[in-house]
Amino acid sequence: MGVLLQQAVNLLQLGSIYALLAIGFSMVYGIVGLVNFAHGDIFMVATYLLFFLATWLFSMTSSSFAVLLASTALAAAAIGLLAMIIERVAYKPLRGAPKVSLVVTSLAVGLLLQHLVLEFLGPNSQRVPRMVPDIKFTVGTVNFEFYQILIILFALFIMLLLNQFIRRTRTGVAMRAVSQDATAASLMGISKDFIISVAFVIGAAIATVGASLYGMAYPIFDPYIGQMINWWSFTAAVLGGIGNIRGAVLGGFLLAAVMVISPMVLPVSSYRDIVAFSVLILVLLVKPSGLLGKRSIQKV
Amino acid sequence: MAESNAAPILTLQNVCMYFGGVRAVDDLSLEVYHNEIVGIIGPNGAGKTTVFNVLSGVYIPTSGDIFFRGERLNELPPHTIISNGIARTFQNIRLFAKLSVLDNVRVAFFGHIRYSLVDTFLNTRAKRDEEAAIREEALRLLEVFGLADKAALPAANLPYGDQRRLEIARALACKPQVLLLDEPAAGMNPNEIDELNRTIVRLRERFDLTILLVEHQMRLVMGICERVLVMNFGRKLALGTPVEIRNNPEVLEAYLGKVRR
Repeated sequence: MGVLLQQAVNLLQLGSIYALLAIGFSMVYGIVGLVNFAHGDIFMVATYLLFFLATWLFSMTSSSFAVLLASTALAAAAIGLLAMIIERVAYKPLRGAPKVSLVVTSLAVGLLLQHLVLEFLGPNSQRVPRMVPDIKFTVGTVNFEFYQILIILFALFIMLLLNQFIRRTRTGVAMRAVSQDATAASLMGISKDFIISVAFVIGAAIATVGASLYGMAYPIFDPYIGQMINWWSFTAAVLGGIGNIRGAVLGGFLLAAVMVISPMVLPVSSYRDIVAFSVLILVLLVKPSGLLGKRSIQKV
Repeated sequence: MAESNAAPILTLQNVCMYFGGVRAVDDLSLEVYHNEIVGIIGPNGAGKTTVFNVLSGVYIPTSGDIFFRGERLNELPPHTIISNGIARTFQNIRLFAKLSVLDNVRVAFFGHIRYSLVDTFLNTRAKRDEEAAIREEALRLLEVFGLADKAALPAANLPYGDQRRLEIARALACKPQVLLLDEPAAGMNPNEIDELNRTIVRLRERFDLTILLVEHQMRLVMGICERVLVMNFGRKLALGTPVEIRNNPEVLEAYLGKVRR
């Protein structure tokens, strides 16, 4: 029983992070129809930026909580801007080009970011400075740490905020309109370029928050972390139904469940990646559009 | 009306729209005057909807010019054309199916909002006031079409006729001067068409509109249009009053002729 509860906390922690990563992936797909394989490397750049910001901020204050909030907010803004610039420079000129060209471009953008970091910052692993107090709780037989609670609550807060944004604000409603029928939306006076920029900025900013939370749980990073992050966010997004934000959250937690549960029942813990991708293939065999995805057929 | 009749509100000058070798619209010229209702008819594939797609910026014409209130709008993106004052509906209904009826209309105010991104984040008074005004205006529009009590439903749940009406309401929320209606009477019975006739004429008065409509239903076209443009194979076949069109031998041959047994 205690073990199960323990794993439930782990699942929520991991799922929260996957969900945040998958949201950006799914949102960009929903708006532009682009599978943005640069997402993981944007996460990687965000991690480096967070690292430098945190180190710099710690030279001015010793309040680790202030450093956490300030570095996350600053990095989210900067990475949002970076994503917007990438979209304008690399993706926008390809609008109307075959989808494959866009996917290949996004792979190239990801590799470019990775090699820029490799070249200028080196291949060595770094460690994110600790920004949360090292407090452990014990409830009954369950041990968990303060950072785990923080990750879950922070991610929940971001998701609720996003939900409000999409439901309540005009830009949010316009985003939903564009994702349902981009042509009709632009013919109702919605600027597609603006909405696309918003999607990239929000997606990247949320990935940055994800990077900040990820760093609390897994503080070691190097220029290659983007690749694995890419596959996890892609898998989560596709599992839930790419283009659907709730689906991305569901996919994130489902993926986390696979990652947490399979080592418990399988003899070798590294089998979990095999299980995770098998689940992806199985789900797609049964429901090719993902769990919450919808096949849409459109006549122009 | 007299003084505004002087210059056309919308002018097409030798507009061509080719898709490879297909001449969807071929050397079409047309002048539309303020407050007119102009019908566009023609056999299937005559290029009627393509005219609308060119006018609303979905396609950039291969050659020729389009002027709206004296300004050339050939290469403007759709959302700019809309906020300049040309709005449209679609032949096959294209509502935002998962948005509520009210949100479908609200979203069309997008091109007209004045509050800034900063206002949005700070939820300032300016933003809240404008949002409230938009909401009220949207509800009033829905009332015109008898949809106010269905404002909270997802658009997909509306019956077909209501969806057609909602499309027109949404287009009107763009505050157009020129309204393009693409087969507004498709799938309607004669009674519904007569009601639509009255609605369109009423809308023209109430919102001071100039209306272009593509339609197959002669009952609608002959009933309310001041002038009718007949297209065939992308070209202008005839242009005139409904009576002239009805008696034009070329039109009878190319278009109505096919209906005769």
